[in-house]
Amino acid sequence: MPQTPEEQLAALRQICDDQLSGEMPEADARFIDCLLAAVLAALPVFLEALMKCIAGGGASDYCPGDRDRC
Amino acid sequence: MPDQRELNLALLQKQRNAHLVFTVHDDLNGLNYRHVVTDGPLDLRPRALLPQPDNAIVIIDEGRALRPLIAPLSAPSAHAHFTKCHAEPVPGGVQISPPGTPHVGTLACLVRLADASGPDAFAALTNWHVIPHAECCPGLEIHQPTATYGPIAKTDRAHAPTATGVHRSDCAAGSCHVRGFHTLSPRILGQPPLRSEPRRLQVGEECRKSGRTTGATRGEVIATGAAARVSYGSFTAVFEDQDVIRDIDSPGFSAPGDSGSLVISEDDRPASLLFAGGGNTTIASPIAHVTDALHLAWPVLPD
Repeated sequence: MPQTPEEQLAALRQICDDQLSGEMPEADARFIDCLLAAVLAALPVFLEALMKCIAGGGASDYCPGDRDRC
Repeated sequence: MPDQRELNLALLQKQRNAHLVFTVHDDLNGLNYRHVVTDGPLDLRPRALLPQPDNAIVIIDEGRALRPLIAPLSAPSAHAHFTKCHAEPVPGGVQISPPGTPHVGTLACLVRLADASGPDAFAALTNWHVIPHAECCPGLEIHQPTATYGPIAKTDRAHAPTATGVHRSDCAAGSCHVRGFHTLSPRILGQPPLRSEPRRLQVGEECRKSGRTTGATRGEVIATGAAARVSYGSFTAVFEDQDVIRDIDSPGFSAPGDSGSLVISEDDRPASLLFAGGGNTTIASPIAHVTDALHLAWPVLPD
């Protein structure tokens, strides 16, 4: 596994290069599918928050905590 | 011609032993009855009972002196749910404890400050005498239920009644934006969800509150526009235009420790802020006066 940010960046670049050349390893393809699915799953929540912010005129400033402080 | 609120206040100021003056209108015969509640002798000379431009009939009632309804830490509660520690976001109606003092009161509800913006616009509402440091020392921690647990708000602003002048509320607010999140919920423990816009209570209406000592209770509004003299121990303060609420259930609408409770109208709107009582009578300040004193904005959150 890449350790430094530079190594991580290089690994990501390699994944992109492999994908463009059609040589992407199967594990990396699964990882990107998973990442894409996560982004798509989060999209409705993000859009809902955005709509509330637009419609509520600042209501999204209210951000209730969920700590069990007891 | 002066209105009933002014006449109530004028009579209270003439009678040093009177605690409470309110007027009840009898629709059947078109008469006003002005009640003077006292636990001592009154000056019964006509001048001391006012010229009565509205021909009100003065009724003298015996009643206990009015005091702010805070309680010592060890005071029992009818419902442990109102005195226990609550996870975030904390509902209104539960016990709170001010910094460095041995008494407890009640958290009214989440409110919004009109002169603040962003996350800092949200605050906890209660009485000034529940968190008396709010006036002198902004930024002190307010705990729920006691100082053993982490803070839910920090003192920010207050209207403190004094021995001079005439007051309309005893109230304070503290920022509930703690460590990047809001510690309070818009919910009130033991009550249905609040509707967004406040309104004034009406005479004869049944109202409700949730408080630290007596829990969720019901009361009947017997007067609005009342004048009250409240004894704070080291001084006495005069209030005008207050709501008067009578017990419906046993053990009663309020008790020491319930100071700071939000009084809710029949149609689930924020209506008044409970702060004093005596005997079977509770006194609360209309939310309009609290809104003016603390610069609040409604609705707190959009529907």
